[in-house]
Amino acid sequence: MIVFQKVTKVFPDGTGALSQVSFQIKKGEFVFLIGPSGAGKTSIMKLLRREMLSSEGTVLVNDKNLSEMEIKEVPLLRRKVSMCFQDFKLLMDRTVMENIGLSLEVLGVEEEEVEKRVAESLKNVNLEKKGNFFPLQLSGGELQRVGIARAIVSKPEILLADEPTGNLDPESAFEVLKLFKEINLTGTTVVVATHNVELVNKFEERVIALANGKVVSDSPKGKYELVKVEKRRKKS
Amino acid sequence: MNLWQKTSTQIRRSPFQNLAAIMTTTLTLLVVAVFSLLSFGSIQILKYFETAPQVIAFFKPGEDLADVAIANIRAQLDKTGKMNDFTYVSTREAEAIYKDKNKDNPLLLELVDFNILPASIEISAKDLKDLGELKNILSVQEGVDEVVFYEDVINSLSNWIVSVKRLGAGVISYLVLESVLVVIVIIGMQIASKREEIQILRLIGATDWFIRKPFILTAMLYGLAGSFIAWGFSYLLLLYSTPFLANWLGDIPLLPISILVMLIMLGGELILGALIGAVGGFLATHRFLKE
Repeated sequence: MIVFQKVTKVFPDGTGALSQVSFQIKKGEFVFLIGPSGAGKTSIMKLLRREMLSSEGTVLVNDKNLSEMEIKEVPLLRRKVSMCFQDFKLLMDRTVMENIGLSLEVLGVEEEEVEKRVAESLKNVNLEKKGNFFPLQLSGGELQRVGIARAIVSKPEILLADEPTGNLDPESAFEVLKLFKEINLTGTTVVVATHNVELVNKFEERVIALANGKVVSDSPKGKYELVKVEKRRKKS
Repeated sequence: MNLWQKTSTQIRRSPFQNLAAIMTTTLTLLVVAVFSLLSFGSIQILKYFETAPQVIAFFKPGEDLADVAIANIRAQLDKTGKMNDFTYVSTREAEAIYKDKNKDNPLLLELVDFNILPASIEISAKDLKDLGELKNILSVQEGVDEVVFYEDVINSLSNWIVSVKRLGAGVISYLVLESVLVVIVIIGMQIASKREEIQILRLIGATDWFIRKPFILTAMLYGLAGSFIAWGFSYLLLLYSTPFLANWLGDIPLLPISILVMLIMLGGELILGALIGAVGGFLATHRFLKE
């Protein structure tokens, strides 16, 4: 379970990223975080993985207050809260299999088990035949699928994705989001940050809309109505 | 990719950095080896002199002492309580020793017999500082022609060993520090070139130790390679100079140095090399891997 309680984030140079943001995400939920650039989506993702700390308020992940977490506990948090990145963050000198296996290596999983689970993961993202390819030999959509495979191979409790479709064509973007939905159906909590409302509406999931570092709407499952939110955003 | 694969990839990708690190540690450990051998040799030489008769009183050539006279001298020396060992060498025994030493030279054997060799009394003291007193007792005995006294040699040798150890400790400390610094710089460069990979590893939940391990292992391998090469060099140097040293040392039974001693030295060098690498690698990762 994820809880944000009146979370404010102000950077050292005085720039405000989030202001009094509050929401809850239950275990097994699928949530879209939407909003224009600078709305605070990435800041929420970073706070959830303790890549930074909030200036005010409380961030809880599985009842653990991240501000009070010791630095040595951070790697353990990041294993439970996996992340897919817009720029994939893959190692270019390693094959697809080695990149995916990295998530298991850091857990100290035996080599045999790594091979087995990587193969399984490749199957889940439909890249069985490209395990020995290097990232430079893959398309954008395939790269993102490798990123997803790496994120899910360690069976995380929560999967975050920061603009995972940002670099993809519409078709690949849809396929990637479908993959996230499939992962969610296995019980993993999935939070996807995106600004692609059209794509979001194809899935009819819960949508938390952000603007200027504030939550402007929290829509339950169903079609997300951008117009109403736009009006609310302008008022705010 | 397991730890060894990661480490070997890291090593293969930076050949010049490897070379610099290994050459520096080799130099340091070669100096360590040379000073260790010097200290070992000096200590062995000192032991030789300490266990050998430290005062020898030679009597007039061809004249043996009567048993009563020998017993009398021994009693005087025993009375001091400072004598460790007492040996009387008769002219016949002196001749036997002479013949044994010169058995390969018939001409010398023909020229000398017991009539021109002196009898002698050889003693050693329990403590070197008491040698003077024992020597004085021997000097005043009837028939003593000459007294040979090793105290100066032993004192000089003791001082030499202390100096070698001090100089060695100074030079080795300096070189060890230099090696550690070189390892820190080289591992630091490797960390800098892998910044992106390290960032990704952190993002997927790698612990600090997981990230550090290949770097520390690389640094330790530098140290181990350096120590092995240094040991090989020092052994070759020793073997090469053995004939010259054996000639210079004369009767002192120091050479050849046993393989066991050399293996112990290799063990020590490997431990020191690994330690230099580990400390350098640890400090480098501590310094450059701060989040």
